[in-house]
Amino acid sequence: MKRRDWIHGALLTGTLAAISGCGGTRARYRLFHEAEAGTLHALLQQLIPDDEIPGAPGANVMRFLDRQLARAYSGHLAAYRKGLEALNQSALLRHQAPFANLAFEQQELLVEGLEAGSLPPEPWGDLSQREFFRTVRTHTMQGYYGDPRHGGNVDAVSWRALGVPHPPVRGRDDYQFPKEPSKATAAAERTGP
Amino acid sequence: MTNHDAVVIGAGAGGGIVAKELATAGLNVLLLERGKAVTPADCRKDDLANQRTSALGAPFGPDERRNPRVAVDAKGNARVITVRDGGYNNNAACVGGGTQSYGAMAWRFLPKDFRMKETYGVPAGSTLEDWPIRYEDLEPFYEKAEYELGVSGDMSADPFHGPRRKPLPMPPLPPTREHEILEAATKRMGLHPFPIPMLRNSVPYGGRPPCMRCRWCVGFACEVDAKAGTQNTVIPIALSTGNCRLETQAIVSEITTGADGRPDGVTYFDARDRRQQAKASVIVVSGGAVESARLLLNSKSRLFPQGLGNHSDWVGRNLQGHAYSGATGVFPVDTFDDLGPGASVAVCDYNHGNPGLAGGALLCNEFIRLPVQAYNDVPPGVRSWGRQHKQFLQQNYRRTMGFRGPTQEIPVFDARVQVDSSVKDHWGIPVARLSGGKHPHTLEIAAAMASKAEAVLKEAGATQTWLNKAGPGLSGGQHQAGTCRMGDDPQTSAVNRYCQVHGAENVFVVDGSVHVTNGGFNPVLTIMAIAYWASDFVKREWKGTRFRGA
Ligand SMILES: Cc1cc2nc3c(=O)[nH]c(=O)nc-3n(C[C@H](O)[C@H](O)[C@H](O)COP(=O)(O)OP(=O)(O)OC[C@H]3O[C@@H](n4cnc5c(N)ncnc54)[C@H](O)[C@@H]3O)c2cc1C
Ligand code: SF4
Repeated sequence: MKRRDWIHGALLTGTLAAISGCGGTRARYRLFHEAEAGTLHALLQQLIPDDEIPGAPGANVMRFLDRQLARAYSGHLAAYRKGLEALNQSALLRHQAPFANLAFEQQELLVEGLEAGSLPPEPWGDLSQREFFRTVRTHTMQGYYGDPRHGGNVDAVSWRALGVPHPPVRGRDDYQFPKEPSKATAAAERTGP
Repeated sequence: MTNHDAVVIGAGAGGGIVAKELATAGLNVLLLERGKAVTPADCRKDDLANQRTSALGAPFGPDERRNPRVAVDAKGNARVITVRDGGYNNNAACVGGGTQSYGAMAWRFLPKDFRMKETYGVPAGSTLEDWPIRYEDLEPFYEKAEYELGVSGDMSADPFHGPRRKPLPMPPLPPTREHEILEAATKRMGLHPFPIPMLRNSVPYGGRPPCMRCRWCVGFACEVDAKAGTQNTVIPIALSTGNCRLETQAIVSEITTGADGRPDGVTYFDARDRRQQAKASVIVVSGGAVESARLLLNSKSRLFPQGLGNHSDWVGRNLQGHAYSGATGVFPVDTFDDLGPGASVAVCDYNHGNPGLAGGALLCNEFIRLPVQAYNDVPPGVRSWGRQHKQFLQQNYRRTMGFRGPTQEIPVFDARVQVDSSVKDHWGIPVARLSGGKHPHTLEIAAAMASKAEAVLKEAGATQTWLNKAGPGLSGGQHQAGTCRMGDDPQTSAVNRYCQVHGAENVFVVDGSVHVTNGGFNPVLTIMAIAYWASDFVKREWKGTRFRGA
């Protein structure tokens, strides 16, 4: 809880760059303008928060999305633009402040509404809130838990947090593995068929 | 235009074997494959772009910009989709077809899987039927597949399999940690665990090295060629005879007919999109269950105005895959040992004999679940995002095991492939239009299988378990089958027992399409056995009539 307040405080004072190490790259986004990037960044912090271990913002899922929305996810770019704008409008309607500037808990409630499709419909037009949530969540998870080569999951941070060795220690360098029969095989050999 | 004894359409599981069998028998064979040739060196082990998780692309085809399909949902809404959409029901398009990147489980169906109607009767609203052939007919051909491609395993602890003359040619890989835990648990429950048979070298075989047990197996090509696919076994043999020419990036658009109305060859588009013609005495359609049906439906002629073999409206019907179901459990200790391929131990106790249910499934542990494949599988009560989700995965990824299996589907007539007259692919060929869903009884069986799997995980010591049950939507996908049913009666099937199209004796369909039912097992070894069986028939007939008309 304390940690969360601290991050939230950092967000408000605009020092997120210092803790996540990626706020400073905003200018490099090819697709998102400043306001969109701010909203998306805050949304990523909701989906997979930076805490003791970098989450989606810290693992540079922003860069992943910025790249993939120009390539494999390009069919979703229009929905991202519309959805981020609508999410911001929803924040303004409820709190008279942009989504990125809200307290963490306020943002969280909005994202819960988004997931349930229960935010006031006005800013959303024909864009389905639930669909937009599902899309951004899926892409974010892919960027965070997927291969670092695509721009997210920097330094394989999520894999290492899960306890998945990177680079792998089995199957490549150690091609002959396993040389010795495992416990079960050894036991079976002792007891016979 | 070229002339051949036989043209084989599709270099996948079925087509690769037919090409080899006919070429080694001396026939001049043209093997046409719409995808590219892939080598192990092309394998980049990309978690997000592989044949299982195709979020950023399907590297083993088909090319997503050129090959749309149409999917119709339960409400009747049609959407144009690409291979990366689950509704596409993709398998693969490359030399080797699905066998280039598959998981390589090598199951024989059980004798009862060929006699589903006799065993259970026909559930209302289904087209459940017995096969015109029996397990015993296929047994020698299962064996041939196991020995020619190479299967590792040991079936001696499984009391349920049909009679077999020979053991598998290679021993199983040493067990994983999950295997040890689940083997002990299932034994305590009185079940009969055994190692999953695999088209994967555990020792050197066929001139290829053994598995190095890497993390990225299912959905990927094997860097060391330890996985046996048609691309590294039978297809090279076919080519080495000098009788077979393989042309890649060659998509067949139509089976052509001569002046007498007899099918006489194919039209295809080559790698440079030029329209080509090939004439052949025998035409073998092996494009996989969706594409084979599409090709037949697109091949209209005077004698077959509704598409080749479709006089009774059975082509494209009964599309089925498997209703995958099971459970996931969290354990107090690490179960992850990073030892590929992961899937290792199975039980067949629940394939049949479940009271009140017309079938069942094999149940087994999973291939290594990459992180990006694990994030969606959290228990009810854990939110699908946020700090709780992140922490759940961090705490439990290495302690989570799945146990599940391919529930045999009860076929339905309206689960189908049609061609969409308005949507065309890159070459102007009408695309496949997929519609329909699963039979309600399939869902009941699947739910029961999920509970069985959960019980196993609990016995194995899981502290928390949850079910993964199949949904009602259309299945096909990687296990697609059924669309050109094999049968004795031309009124209720598309091909006869030798895969010969009713009414077109020189056209054969040899792939998953001909399955009457799809077993409670991954289908590929059965597709391979049928390919040997059908090839055997073609070779015998060739010696007589040469399929040159009566
Ligand atoms: C990731 C993955 C894992 C799998 N794991 C397993 C497993 O563990 N065990 C198992 O039993 N099965 C598994 N499968 C399924 C298995 O690969 C398929 O059942 C099998 O390959 C189907 O064989 P087929 O001959 O019907 O078609 P395919 O192998 O799909 O071959 C059809 C070929 O025909 C080509 N083609 C289609 N239309 C045309 C045309 N018009 N012109 C030219 N070429 C054409 C296609 O490009 C394709 O290469 C897996 C599949 C995948 C993708
Ligand atoms: S697990 Fe074995 S068979 Fe599978 S890709 Fe790795 S080395 Fe090849």
